[in-house]
Amino acid sequence: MASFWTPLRVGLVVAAAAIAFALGLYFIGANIGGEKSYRVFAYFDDATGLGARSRVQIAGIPVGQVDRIELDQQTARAKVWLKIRAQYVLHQDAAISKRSESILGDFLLDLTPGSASQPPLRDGDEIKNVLRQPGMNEIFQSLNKIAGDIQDVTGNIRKVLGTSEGEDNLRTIVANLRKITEGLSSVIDRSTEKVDTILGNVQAFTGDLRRISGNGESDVMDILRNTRDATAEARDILRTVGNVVGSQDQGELRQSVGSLRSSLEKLDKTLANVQQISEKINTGQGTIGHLVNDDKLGKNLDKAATALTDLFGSASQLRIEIQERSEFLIGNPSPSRTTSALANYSYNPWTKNYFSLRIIPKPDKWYGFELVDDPRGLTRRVQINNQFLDGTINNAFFPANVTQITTERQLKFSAYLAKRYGFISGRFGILENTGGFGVKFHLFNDALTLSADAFEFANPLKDHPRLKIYADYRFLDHLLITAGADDVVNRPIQDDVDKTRIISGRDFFIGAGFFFNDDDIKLLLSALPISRL
Amino acid sequence: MAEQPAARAPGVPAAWTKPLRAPLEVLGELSVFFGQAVVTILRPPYRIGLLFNQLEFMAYGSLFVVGLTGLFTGMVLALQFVYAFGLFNAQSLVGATVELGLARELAPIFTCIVIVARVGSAVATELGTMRVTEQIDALETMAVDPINYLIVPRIIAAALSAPVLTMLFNAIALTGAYGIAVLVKDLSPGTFLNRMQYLVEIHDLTNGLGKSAVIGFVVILIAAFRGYKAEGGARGVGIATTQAVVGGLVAIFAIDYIYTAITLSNPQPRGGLGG
Repeated sequence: MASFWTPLRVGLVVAAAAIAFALGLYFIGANIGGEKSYRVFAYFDDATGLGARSRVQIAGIPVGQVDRIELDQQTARAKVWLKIRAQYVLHQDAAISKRSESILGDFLLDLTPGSASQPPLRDGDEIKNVLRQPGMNEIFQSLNKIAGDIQDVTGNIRKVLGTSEGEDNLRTIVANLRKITEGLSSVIDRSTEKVDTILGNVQAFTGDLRRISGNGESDVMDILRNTRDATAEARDILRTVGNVVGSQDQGELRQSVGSLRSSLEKLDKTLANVQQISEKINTGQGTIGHLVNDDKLGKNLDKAATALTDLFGSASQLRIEIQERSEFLIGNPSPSRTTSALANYSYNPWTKNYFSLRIIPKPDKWYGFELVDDPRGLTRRVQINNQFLDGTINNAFFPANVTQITTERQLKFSAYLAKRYGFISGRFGILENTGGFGVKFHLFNDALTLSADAFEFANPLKDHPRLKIYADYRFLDHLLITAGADDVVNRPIQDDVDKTRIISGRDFFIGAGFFFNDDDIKLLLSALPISRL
Repeated sequence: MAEQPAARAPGVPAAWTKPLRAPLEVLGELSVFFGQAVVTILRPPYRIGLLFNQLEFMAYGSLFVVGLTGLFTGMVLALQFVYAFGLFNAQSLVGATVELGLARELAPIFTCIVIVARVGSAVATELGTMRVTEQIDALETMAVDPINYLIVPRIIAAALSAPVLTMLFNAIALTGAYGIAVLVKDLSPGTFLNRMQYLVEIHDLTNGLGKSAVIGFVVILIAAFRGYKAEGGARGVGIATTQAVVGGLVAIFAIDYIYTAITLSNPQPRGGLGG
């Protein structure tokens, strides 16, 4: 039966084993947590001595290890994959070489990370610079060759000197050397005497000099006296110059000097003024001092610069898009379905055309302007109040109050603001001469746009607002095709006169168009002030 | 006394074929026993209390022996390798070689030898005694499955204890080796540990643990089998114990070879010496 101590003892053993295992992992440097690293590869002609976990180092510091080695059968070279720790960045011009660590055949890889100006290597890239360093075998071979050369040289020397003739030659050489050194010795001996003679001559010369200076004492005194006179005269001259400069009555030179002095006094005053001004500026007095010492100016300048940067920055980001699109209205009664006499071809009720301009200061915001040619025309409600000059209140032909509803085909105008959030954008403003709004979904990298617009909220012929739903597909950078339904929720009303024209009600359409960004217009507009939304 | 094949009915092989038949019979019985045990492991009742008792006996009870064995193994390995690698100035490989040898081979094998000697003999003796004193028959009479009650807790405990003890053996042996190499033989700690990080991998450790679990399971299964099938009184128990220890030891080295051959069947060349 399990005693109280049994689970405790078992737990003790398991805990001890776990600690032991963790210690073992620590000692072998196991990488449990998956230290971040990336893998690069290099091709080697010979991967002898390399294997998984071989060291890879930069300047002697381990930065990773060999991950695995494959044989590239096409080139018959070894493809060595390296696992480099993520904090060590290698560049495109990185170089690698295999180096023998000891004579036991222990190899490691030396890396040079490359220059920082080059782009960094990413996971799976190749290190192209593989430097080849001689292995121990080649070093031994080189040493072998050198030893052979030395052997040849010593062999030749032995041939020259090893024979009795060589020995005689050597003896002769030594004898010659002895003669040469003896000659040198005698030359040095003779030179010593000459040097002694030269020194004696110098001594005699200095003795002569002493004698001359002793005998010519009176001449020396004369020279000294002349010198004293000369200095006295020089002092007189200097005194005269001093008078000219310092007194008030010495002719033109005095005047010149006087004007120079006054100029100096003016300069002195000027400097004093400059000093005063600079002190005032320094203490913040006066306008300049205020400008210099108050940091408001600096802040204002900073703001102004920021505003300018924003302005020009937005101007440079600005994009102008011009679009033309035509929609072919499918649901309109075709001439074949009505009497040909009633068909009015000149009226062309089958296409609706848009010319639009989008000003896009930021990718998520734009202003749109559109000219729309809509065969449905513009519906107006006109209230007419007839007043008769003869006082008649009501007339069979001219009632006092008349309400007219007109549908007039004319160019319509749209102007709106749009803002985009992610793949959804919304717009509001004037849509086809009435207030309206719309929403768009931008899908597949903006190639496909699903749109819904609502406008004409107060059309007297309609029970509901005009709701237009359509999809645009943009392709080839400049072309679009479209399909959709217009005025989805209202009952159909046809033109009484031109039977082929729908005034109101649901209709379907397909269409196409083109659009482009106009850099010339962009440059023109960037020069104009643009208010920000 | 118990063996009287000659008295059996016709159709039974002749007595002289017994030396030829016996090993195959043992292998067959062992296989059946193994199958019964494995099937019974999955069947309730699960006897957790008995399992903990066996774990205490096998793991906690073997701690001291395993620790002592490990310490001396590590120390002697360090001595030998410092001497051998010193012959050609490659002492930097001592640490890595000791740890590779321990993790891959010596720790699991020595631990399992200790388990066979200490636990296997005890299991065989205990079960053999129960068999010859008919306690196992009494269990069957009481409708208690003796394999579920006696065998399963022992073999599971062995499969769990062996890797746990191997981890401890490894750590203690490495500590001993470090002490000898660094403190006695004056190797620098950096030299001892540095190569270890390049040459020893985590699967060296895990291979050793897997090996010890498999061997531990098999040797205790053999010991239990021998005890369970013991017959013939006190002498039979003695024979069963001897057979358990001998069979266990042979099994250790045979399984060691098979396991190593399988795990080393497609190794990636390592860095370092020779490729």
